[in-house]
Amino acid sequence: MQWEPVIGLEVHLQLATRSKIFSGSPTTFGAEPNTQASAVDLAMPGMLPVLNEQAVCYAVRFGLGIGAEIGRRSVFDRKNYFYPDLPKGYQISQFEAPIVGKGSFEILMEDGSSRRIGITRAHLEEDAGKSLHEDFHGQTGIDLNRAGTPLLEIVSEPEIRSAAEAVAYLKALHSLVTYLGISDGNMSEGSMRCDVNISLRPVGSDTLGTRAEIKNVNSFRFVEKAIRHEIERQADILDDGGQVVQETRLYDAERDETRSMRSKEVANDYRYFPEPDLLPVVIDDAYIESIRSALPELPADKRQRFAEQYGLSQYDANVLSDSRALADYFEQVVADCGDAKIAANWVQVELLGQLNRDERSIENCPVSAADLGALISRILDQSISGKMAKQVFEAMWQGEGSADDIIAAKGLKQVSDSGALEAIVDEVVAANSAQVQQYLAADDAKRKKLLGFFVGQVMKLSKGQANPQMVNELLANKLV
Amino acid sequence: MQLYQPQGFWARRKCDKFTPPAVSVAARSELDTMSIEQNEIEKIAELARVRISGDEIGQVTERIAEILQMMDQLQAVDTADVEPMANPLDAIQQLRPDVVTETNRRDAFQAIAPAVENGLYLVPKVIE
Repeated sequence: MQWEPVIGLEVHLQLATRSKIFSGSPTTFGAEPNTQASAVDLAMPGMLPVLNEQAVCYAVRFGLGIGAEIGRRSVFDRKNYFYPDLPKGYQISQFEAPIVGKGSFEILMEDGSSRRIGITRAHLEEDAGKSLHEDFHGQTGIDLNRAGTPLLEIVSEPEIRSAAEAVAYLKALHSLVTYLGISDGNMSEGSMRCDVNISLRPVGSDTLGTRAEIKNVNSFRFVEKAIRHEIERQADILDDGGQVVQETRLYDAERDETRSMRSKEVANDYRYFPEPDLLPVVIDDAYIESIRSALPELPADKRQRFAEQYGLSQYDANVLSDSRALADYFEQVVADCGDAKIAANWVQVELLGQLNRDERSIENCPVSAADLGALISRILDQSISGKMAKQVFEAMWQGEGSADDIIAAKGLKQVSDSGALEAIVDEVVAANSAQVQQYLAADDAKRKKLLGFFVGQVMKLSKGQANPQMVNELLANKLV
Repeated sequence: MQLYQPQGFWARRKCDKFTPPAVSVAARSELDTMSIEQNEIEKIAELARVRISGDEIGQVTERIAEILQMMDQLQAVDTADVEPMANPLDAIQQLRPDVVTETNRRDAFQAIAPAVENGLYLVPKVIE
């Protein structure tokens, strides 16, 4: 039978606050164990939570970014379970009255098409600590630095239909939250963790099958592999006439498989009740409007504007608006050099190519947008050729100075003096009379090829400094 | 930042005008009454990490069943136009600015912990 996957994602997004959601402890990543765990985070007797206003602001910003209804009166609840990295014995979360209600955002597929995916809700909660199961004389080590870090749990509608769509969803979400500036989106540091719910149903059916949940998948690549694997596993079971068991599974990246979390815990009976230590959070119109008016331009709008304003292809517009930092960089280059198409080409080919080779992000790019803009200006005013510019760019990447410094230091000035070029062209034409005869006898298609030979000779004689466009024009005029 | 619109305590609490309806025992049994089985008590005890011994369990079940009967009586109240109450205080949450105010006091906290190593708290092995 043909099965259709029904996939919903729950993303735990770490919010980029300085302090924790309910205490004044820092949230810096990578600190020495337990140096960022205060009495509140350790659940010492008598400690009370006080809500961080920035976490509320970020949650509302997200809600507005996906066009969602904001919970005007949202309530915190206790989610009760026992685990050593949760010292209180409950996680403060939101159950019945989340801060963000239904919304949606656009995801972008590899082929450039787009789709809108619904968001069921998003709520604020605190993170737990970390359990380290390496051997401490048969004991487990607990680090509570992460305990109390603010999370926004973002729950999608079960509208995702393939592993590729799930990845596109996560990329779009990553782009959105970094545009909004509410999270660093750093997956390797756990800033975006993903649980996947998957079930299969016969193609054409609209009832849902039994789902399995895959916990804590932490990279785009693993999400894709875990989903592909789980779809295959469930299809095998169903094809054999079996039934999928509703359970939580863990993805094992090393073996590329999901396996059941054999847990003695009685699953999903968290006995939620309203958190008596916190009062309802009431959000008014003025507050929402103040956040709305400060929203940055979001990815979908920017994509569209880039295509329209700069006359870029949809593909180029998509690539250049992928992150806010890259989009800002591109716009700065355009502002400095004045030519959006050449700027788009340079940013995508040379800049992104180098960044990829060096495994650097745009934030750590050694060539500033102003420097790249200045370099492109030298191509546009014909001081250097595109080929020379690549050489100059290489040197700029190595930190050898500005475009103009490098052009001067390497003597890379392009020869655009028509008198000087004409002399070289004459020399080449005189020295290759056989080819000239051949050229004159040839048809248009062949002439194009043969012209390349002459251009090559001129470039050689000029040590690569001749302005190729002028050489072409001069040759075409001479060879008649 | 002004986040709230205070509302009067009495304005929101409509139930203070409430007079308990007389519900006879007979009528009550026709309501959707809550009852509880011993195995449910065992499950809740396990979730709450409370150990109840074999000879106590029957008595605990009976007592909780009595509490639930009282809940049944409360269920009979018409609360159609009463706003659910998340907190008995007529106030809303104050927010704190996002500022780091805590310093590292790990040594003091770990001095009273039963076992620590390399800055970690040690607990009996938990692995699934």
